[in-house]
Amino acid sequence: MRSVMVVASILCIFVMSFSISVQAAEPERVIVTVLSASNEGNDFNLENDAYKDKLIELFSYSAYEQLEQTSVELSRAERNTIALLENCELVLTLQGTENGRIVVEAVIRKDHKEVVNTVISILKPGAAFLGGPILQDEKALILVLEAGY
Amino acid sequence: MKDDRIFKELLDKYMDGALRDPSVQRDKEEFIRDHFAPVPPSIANIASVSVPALALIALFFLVWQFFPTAQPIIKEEPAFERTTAALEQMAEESVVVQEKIEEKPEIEVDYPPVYVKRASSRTGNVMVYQKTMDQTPVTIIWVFPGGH
Repeated sequence: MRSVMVVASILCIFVMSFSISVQAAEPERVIVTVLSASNEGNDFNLENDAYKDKLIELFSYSAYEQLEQTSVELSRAERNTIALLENCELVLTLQGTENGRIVVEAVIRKDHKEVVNTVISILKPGAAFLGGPILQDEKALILVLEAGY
Repeated sequence: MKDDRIFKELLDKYMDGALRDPSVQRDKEEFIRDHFAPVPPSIANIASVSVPALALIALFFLVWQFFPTAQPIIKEEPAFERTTAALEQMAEESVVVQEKIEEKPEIEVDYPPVYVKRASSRTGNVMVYQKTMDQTPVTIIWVFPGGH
């Protein structure tokens, strides 16, 4: 009887841990769009025109260029580093999910210095803009994080 | 008559003297001892012991008979037969009780679609702002490098 109880307990623990690991294994997809903004010219070199109106309303730059777009599968507590231009990098870490939201830690580093360190809760589908680092040609770096698309 | 009286007095004196004679007393006791069985001492002992014992037993029974009257009367309740109707009634009552319980409203926090839990920078000031565009709030986290 005791051995049956022990086996049943081990089985329960195994099933629970397996289900937890399965839940934790579900990645969250985040699309990272890398843009540069400047006041030189009036060019809008964007793959997604939906950004154009928003960028015009949000920022005062006259020219925007889409440099890169990356889709990242985020697993909980797993760091995902995306190399950007000019010694810049973006580190995304999924901290958790709650009520249809994802909680993401986003860190932008330039020359090993933290330019921004933030934790954002995004209701899917949703997007957040991160920006500010100045590149060598006086262009501003803007990152668009989209979740749930 | 006078002679009879004298004779009687002499006889009484004689009898008294004869009975008081130690030999006569000794013979008397010997006669009684030989011809009359003495009272068995065991019976006397039993009687002397058994009487108080019987009295105690009688007292015990007397108290025992009155003792239950001093105890609280415990009535055995008849076995409760839970018929189907009774169970249904109980179920209805329990439902009624459950309905009376007021559920506390859940505290709902209305967070914006995107909200910033934390924002910091080692290179400048950080500004977080939101702007609603097409009824959709857009969140911007902006760093001013060098603090300007």
